[in-house]
Amino acid sequence: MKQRNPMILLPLFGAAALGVYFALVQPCSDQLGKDRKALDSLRSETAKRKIAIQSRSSIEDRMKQIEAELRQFSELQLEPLLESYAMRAKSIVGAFATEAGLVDAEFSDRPVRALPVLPGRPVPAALHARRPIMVSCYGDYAAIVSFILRVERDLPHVTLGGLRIQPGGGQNPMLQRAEIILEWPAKGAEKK
Amino acid sequence: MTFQELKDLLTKPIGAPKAVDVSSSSVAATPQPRNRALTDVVGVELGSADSRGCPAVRLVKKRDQWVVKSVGFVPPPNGNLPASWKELGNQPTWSLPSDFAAPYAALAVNSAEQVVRQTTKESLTEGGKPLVFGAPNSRDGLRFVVENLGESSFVLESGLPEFQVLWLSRLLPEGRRPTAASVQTAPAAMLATLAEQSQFNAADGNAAALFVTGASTYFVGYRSGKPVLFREFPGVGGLVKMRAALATGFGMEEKMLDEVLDDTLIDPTPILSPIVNPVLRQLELSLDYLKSRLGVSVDKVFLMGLSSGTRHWIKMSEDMLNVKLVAPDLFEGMDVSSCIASGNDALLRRSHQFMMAYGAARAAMEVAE
Amino acid sequence: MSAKAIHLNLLLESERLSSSPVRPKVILPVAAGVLLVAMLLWWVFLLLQGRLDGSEVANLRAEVAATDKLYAEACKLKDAMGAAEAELNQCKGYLNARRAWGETLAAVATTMPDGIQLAMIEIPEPGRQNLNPPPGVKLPPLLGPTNELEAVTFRIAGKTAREAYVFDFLDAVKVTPAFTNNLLVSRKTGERGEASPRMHQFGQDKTTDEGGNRAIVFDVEYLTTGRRFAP
Repeated sequence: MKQRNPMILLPLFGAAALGVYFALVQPCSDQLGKDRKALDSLRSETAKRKIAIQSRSSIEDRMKQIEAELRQFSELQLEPLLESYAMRAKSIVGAFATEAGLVDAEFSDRPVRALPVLPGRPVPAALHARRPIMVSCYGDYAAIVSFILRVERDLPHVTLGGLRIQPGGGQNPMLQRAEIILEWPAKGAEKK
Repeated sequence: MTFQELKDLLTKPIGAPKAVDVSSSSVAATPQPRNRALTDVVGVELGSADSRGCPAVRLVKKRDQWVVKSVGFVPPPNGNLPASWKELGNQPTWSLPSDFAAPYAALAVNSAEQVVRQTTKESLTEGGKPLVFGAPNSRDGLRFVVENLGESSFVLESGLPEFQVLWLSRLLPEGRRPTAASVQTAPAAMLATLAEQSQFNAADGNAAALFVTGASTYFVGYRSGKPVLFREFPGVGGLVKMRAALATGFGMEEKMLDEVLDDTLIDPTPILSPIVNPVLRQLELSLDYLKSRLGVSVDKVFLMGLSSGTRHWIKMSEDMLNVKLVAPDLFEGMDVSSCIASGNDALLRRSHQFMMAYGAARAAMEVAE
Repeated sequence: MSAKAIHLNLLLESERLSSSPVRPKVILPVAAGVLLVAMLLWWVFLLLQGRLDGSEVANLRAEVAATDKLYAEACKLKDAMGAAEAELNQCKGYLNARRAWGETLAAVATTMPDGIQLAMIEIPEPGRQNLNPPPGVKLPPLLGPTNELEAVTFRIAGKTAREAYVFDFLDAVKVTPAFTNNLLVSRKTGERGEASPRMHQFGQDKTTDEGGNRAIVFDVEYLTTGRRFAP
């Protein structure tokens, strides 16, 4: 039997091992890595979808709840009377002013103020705003305060947005001139 | 073939390229390092005439105790020693039985192309070729080793053709026990067989020995344990010729000879004398030379290599020459319990049949200087 | 003692072979072979893993495709809910930002000493709201202010013959719940902003009365915690 030098196998096996690694193992490993990433991504996607789909009923319930609350809120909103918010306000609180003893009450619109929309948060489905109405009138201090207290008691959704009381001028020093700004919730601008 | 004819044949260029250029200056200038001490070696004789196989001896050195772990005959390799470079292509490998699976093997080779002779330094350094002692040299396709023979200008040369050494170096394959640690010619290997003999050491290594090998009979004179004279007896032949003549003389098969020669009731002297007498005559001449020229005086001669009939040789030597021959047990003083346990005590009784194998192993285990 | 044995070794050191099966020229090819087998096994493993993953990817893709419609509807619903919640939060924000002034104004009447003649009470209307981007910036107008907090102040001015009346009033403000519930009555400068109250005017009037006396005029402003339009 002829003896061969086994070292001749070293470069053969070594080259073959390297060849197998670079030609087969590495591409396979790379592909497996990609597949794994795809797999992880798909797994998280399916889990996310599962949660989203399963939570539909709870979302629907919550939607109903929100809609009910929004309906309640919409009933508090100031709606125009023949396209006039001031006239609507007058129709609501005019009697309060009279009963409080205020005279010469004049109702006028003030610029509507949008409610905050914070960045990074979902945009409201519909925008809401503050509708200030100025009530300019005359009366003594007690009457003015009485009017404001009445509004705050009977219309808790209406708030004092501004006030200026100063002497009314004229011959009666007890008579004050008041500019009372009452704020109502109202519909906001249409989203574009 | 005479000695001179043999010398002429071997000094002719063989023609094939050398496998190893031992004669390069760097190699020739620096002696090869000796083997470091080996402690477990199997000595094997290749090319012996024994039909039972290759004699083998596994020798182990445990601290100061020699142990003969196994003796026996192993199947020969599946291929013959090549006779030329062309035959080198058919390289067999050889497995030894597990009993003989020592780490290393020492091979004692009988080759028709071997060179073992006493020669002069001058003849070997003809043409200014450098000569390294104790390490392989190369000349004309022959790889040989030389050793000084005492203080004289004579040297002992032992060599084999380059292609045969190559073949032998690859015979025992790498990675399996044993692999070759030593390759010697059989006559060179036999020189180490006396190293452990108590009688040899008692005489401070001053001794003479008669080595009867398969092909030839040799006389070796030792001084202080080292060979100082090496002679091949011309025209005498060796065991092969002797046993063939004995078988013819007795009219029996050779395998019966040992029993007959050891049988005390049979006197083989008439048949043995024609064979032994020429040897004794040469012995007488050699002893004279040893004493007169080399100053080595001995009172006995070691008779080595005979597996049977030694008492007849001893008697004939005493009667004819008044020279005492002693045939010591080769494994004298060694632990042979392992061989006895294996049932090889019969082989141990004829220990000289393992002379070459033992000598090869013992030489390979010599501690490096 | 044994003699030295002669050894005529024809074998070169370089021709000696190792009988040990463990040697570099065997171990290295074996290791390379093992490496090759390991590479091949690794590749097979990757292939099998790839097959499994591929199969799962296909299944998941099919599942995703099957839920496309439902998921789209769920997302739409979720978005709608988000918008509805935002709308409701806006409304709640409005309601939470209400501020009652009636009690405070009534308390003015009861705590103001008689010797003080009230000249003005003012709760200024917030400044004009501008939701348009700065000039030159091409962005649409904001849908609403981006700040939930609106500052509110309360200012009161009057005239008196004696400074003590003013001090009495200011002291009364500090301890009257109708004021302290609505106004910041004792914040010093540097404490998270401006001081409250802050005197705009406290001194003698320029004019004199019929008796030739100059009145003491005062004009004090109180800060409040403001109106926070947050749900």
